[in-house]
Amino acid sequence: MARYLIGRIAQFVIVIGGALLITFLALHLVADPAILGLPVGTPQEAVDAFNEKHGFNDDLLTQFGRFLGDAVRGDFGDSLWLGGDALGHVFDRLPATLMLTVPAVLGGGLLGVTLGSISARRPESGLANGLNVFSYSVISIAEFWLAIMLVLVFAVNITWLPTAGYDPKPQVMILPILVLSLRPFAQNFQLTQATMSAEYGKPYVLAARAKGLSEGQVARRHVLRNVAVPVVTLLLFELGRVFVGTAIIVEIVFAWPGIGRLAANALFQGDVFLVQAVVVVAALATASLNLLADLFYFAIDPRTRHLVGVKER
Amino acid sequence: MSGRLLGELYRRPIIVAAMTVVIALVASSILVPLISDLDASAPRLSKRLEAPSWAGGDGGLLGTDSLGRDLLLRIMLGMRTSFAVGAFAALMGAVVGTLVGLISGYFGGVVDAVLMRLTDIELAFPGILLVMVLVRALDRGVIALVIVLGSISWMLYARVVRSAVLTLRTTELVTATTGLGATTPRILFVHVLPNVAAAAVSLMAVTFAAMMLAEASLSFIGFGVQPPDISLGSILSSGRDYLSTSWWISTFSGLFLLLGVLSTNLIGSWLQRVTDPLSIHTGS
Amino acid sequence: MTEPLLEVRNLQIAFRSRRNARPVVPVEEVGFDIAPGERVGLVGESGSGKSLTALAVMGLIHRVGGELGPETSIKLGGDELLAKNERAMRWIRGGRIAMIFQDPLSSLNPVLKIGRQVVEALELHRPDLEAREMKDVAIDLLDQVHLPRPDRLMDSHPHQLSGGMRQRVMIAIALAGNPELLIADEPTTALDVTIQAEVLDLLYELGEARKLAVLLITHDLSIIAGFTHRVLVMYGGRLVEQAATNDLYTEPRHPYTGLLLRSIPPLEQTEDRLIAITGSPPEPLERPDGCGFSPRCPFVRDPLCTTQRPPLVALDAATASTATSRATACLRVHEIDLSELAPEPASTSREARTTVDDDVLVEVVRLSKTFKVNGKGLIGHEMVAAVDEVSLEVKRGEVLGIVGESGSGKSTLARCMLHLIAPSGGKVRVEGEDLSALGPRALRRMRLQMQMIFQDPGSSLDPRMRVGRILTEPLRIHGLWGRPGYDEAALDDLLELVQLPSNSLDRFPHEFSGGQRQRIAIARALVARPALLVCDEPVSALDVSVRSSILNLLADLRDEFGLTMVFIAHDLSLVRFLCDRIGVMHQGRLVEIESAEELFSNPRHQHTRELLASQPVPDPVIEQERRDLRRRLAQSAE
Repeated sequence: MARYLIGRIAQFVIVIGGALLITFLALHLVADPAILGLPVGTPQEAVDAFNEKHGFNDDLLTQFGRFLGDAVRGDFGDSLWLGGDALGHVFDRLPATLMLTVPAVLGGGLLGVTLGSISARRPESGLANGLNVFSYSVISIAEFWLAIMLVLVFAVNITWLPTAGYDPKPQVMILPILVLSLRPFAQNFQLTQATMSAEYGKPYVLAARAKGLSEGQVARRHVLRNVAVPVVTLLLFELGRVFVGTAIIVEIVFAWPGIGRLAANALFQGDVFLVQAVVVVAALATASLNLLADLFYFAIDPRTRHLVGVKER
Repeated sequence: MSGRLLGELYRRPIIVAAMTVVIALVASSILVPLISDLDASAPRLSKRLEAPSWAGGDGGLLGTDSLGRDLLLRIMLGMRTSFAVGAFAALMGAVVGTLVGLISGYFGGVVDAVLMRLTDIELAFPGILLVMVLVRALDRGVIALVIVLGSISWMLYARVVRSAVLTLRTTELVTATTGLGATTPRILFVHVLPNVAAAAVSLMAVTFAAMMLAEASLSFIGFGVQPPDISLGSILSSGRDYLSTSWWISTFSGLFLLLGVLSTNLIGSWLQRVTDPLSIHTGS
Repeated sequence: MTEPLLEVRNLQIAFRSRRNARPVVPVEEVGFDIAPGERVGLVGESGSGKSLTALAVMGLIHRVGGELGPETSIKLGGDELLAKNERAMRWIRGGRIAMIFQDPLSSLNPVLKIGRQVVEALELHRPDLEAREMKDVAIDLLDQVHLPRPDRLMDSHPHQLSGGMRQRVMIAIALAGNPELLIADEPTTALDVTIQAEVLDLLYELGEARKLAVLLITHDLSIIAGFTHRVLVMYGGRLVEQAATNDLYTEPRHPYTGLLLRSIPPLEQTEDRLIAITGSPPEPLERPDGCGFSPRCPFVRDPLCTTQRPPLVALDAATASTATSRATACLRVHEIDLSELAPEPASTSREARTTVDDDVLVEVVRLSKTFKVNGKGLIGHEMVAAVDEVSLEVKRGEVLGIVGESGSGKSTLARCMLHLIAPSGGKVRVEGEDLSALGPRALRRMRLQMQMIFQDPGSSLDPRMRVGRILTEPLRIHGLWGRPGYDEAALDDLLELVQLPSNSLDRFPHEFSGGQRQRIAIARALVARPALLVCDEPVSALDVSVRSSILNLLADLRDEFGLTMVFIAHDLSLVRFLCDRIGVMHQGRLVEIESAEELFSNPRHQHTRELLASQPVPDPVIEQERRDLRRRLAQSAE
């Protein structure tokens, strides 16, 4: 058990290190921070001074070592675009993003799980078929387009809701949360339905029925516990994905000042330090959620506690 | 096998419809720009923001944009970009990922360990942010987009093909073929690859759709295709400022995107179902 | 006569699907009784409908998508079960009728503790118990099925138990509601022979002690011989024979039962050939008109048997009811004489068999294979020896049998002998060549000389290649295809040799039955004319009625070509039939190797004796004796 935990935490460190390395290489090797960050036509002396000031003239290994060392201490440098501590800007924007993503993923995801488990028990029903078609449409829809269409209908045409802007009130937050919740809903719906139908085909379900359990008892006591692992894993994964992925688009459309919009603007501005800070926070958040999912898996499935893997036969 | 596929199709009219839609979209995205005598880029200030002809305007079938350009023509060119980026990125991911998955699943060991860690990193790294960083670093453009999208999608193929190879390894096929005296490349490419190819091909349709969406999203926020190239995402974005007056710009470009992505997704999920490796082995 | 406990009449099970207009009817016109405390065997092959019959009795048939016919009646203690509502049926399931299943691991919920799963059954069916008493009752139940340390087991999870222990847990759960009838669906098929014997002995003991009626469903006529009072035989969805156990084994009356019994290789003496049943059991959709067995029956008479459905009729005309008396569903039952049955002669003359000479073909010296278990990393793993310093010789023309239970290392030994997996230590010499000293190219060349066939032919044949391509693949690999002697004519000869239809070459493996697929695998192994053939459980995955014809084919190959064979099996009767010498594997070691005669008449090692005592034989008298022998062996071990 201790070995499993050590291995899993080592994996966490490797993943974060890998994320740092990729970001660093993209910004320093593939591109040139000075070209990204300084306006076109900046005199050469200014470029040299810029490179000198931030140590961009040192060799890459030294730079990466310094970057890692500073990152561990929470120092990502000062933002070129906004000035001030880069990490501080990220933390300032974090609550706004969380305010949208957490309710969206939990709400959408849990609704998906509930409807998915109902559909799995009645696979041929109209409800199941309708929800299936709906979930496919949702997965195929471009979120930014849906956001715009919702704005067009609710804010422009019937003016029930404001079009955009930051104001933590329900009528402002409802559209972005709705858009953000659709994909977690669809993914969880499909996964729950698929794993539950597969679970219902397993012999232990037949054995439970042969014991004399009612269908409700079979579902609650036996099937749901076995479905919990993949479903919770997906929920946490979706939370991580929505946190920075989908949120970028939705924050831009709704002019919501979260870290997604911050990341996009920092990239536009070529603000190397701010980009690095956002990426590291995002990677930390998603990797932690993945770690959490694995620990949950470890806690709920007894088989993982006695990892006995025999290679070959 | 093909007879079975046709039989399956017969029972699934919706898949036939999806295939028809995809073919029609591809064909018209190639043909409309060829037939049309309009210029997709040149402004026609006299025709700014004209509504579609059927809605009382003078903007042709789908209306015009803020520079008076024909929206039908631009949407078709945007579709072409979507299909091209989606196809090339999916193809690049499929070729690289299938090879890596084949090798990693068959040999295991170090290659496998490295691949699994890479995939973990990708999982911990929100795809779109990575793509934005890389596209920015490569200085935006269609080619950069294809390379970046392709280079993140190969891992998905690698994982799927790897697990298909591992499933195949639990059968006796590889042992039996080794026992006949076959060389490793022969086992890999003559016996294993054809049996896992179905998994990769069905995944291609699904990633193709995902790549189309990603291209449009990136172009929408300005990280994707740059003018003069046309993308559905950038058309949609340009329509945002005229939402209250000229709804057709954003509505139609998004609608066509939805049509393309939904159809490809339906085909992909159907392919995944019918080419399930288990159903091959039982032969039913 | 006592009132029957269970009365099944006119059982018909149908499955409707949107794909087929006509419903599939896997079970038809099945009727039987079970008396209180009576043990009844229900025997049939895959697709015979025996498991569906059990689900129908449990009232669970609609859960697998089936429906019962309008005239079906299932009565328990005189009460019509089909008239009961779901709530009442839940009370009966687990309360009056309990059921155990084939795979005890997947039949237990993997994430719940053993104790929880036993207590759950008590909560449902023992309202007389207080909540705090249940734990003690559960421990007592685990104790009754002879599980060691039952109090500690309560907190274990299913994956921590061995297969035999899991099945005991399933039995404890089944006993929780004090049922009157226990349905056991292939309860020992997934278990080793020694464990199988223990579980059957436990069921026997419980049946006697609790006056518990048992319906034991199996494909194996041998295991029920000493277990049941009565046997029902199903074929193609119908009952074809019903008899008291002793009568059935001494004088079977239906051709299918007779052939099945005679096709089991006897343990007591050697036979040259077995009685084989042609063809394979029909799929529910492809059942013939008339008698379901007619396409495979040597006594078939056209058009009588091919147009009329034979009803199950009592042999003794005096008894009107067929519910318990001796009955057979064969129109020619009074005309035929099953003792006329004899094996078909071999395709070649028996004299052709080359005698075993002293020339050693395979020499295995201190061969070992260790695997890492428990963790993949560098720290904390331990090594387990799957094969532990095995040495043996195989002489040219000899057939060597290797028997052992699962995990004994017999399959690993086979693979190491051919260097399909690299051994961890020791040497294998084939034709004097040390295999581990050969380079990759020379080893591949060597493979022409040594071929292997596997347990599951479906998975060793490439599903995307036609049979013609599969058969020529070894020749293509070695650049032999098209050379003299390796052409289309040779392929046709090969098909004839393994008795496959001549149009097989253009078809895919999935178009063949399991037995035919194994013939394809055998043909592929023979195409390059090897000197050595290693067979790893070649008939274990096949239906019982198909096995003997494959065994006959292997015996013919041995005799006709003087082929040297290593035959891996878990079933002693198979090696007895085919092998000159037999080795016994136990926990990675070769514990005994001896000529077949000597091993069976005078087993030396304790494990060999246990295997012999556990090997079921289709003879009620012998099986009873063996039960006593096992009890004595167990007592002497303690």
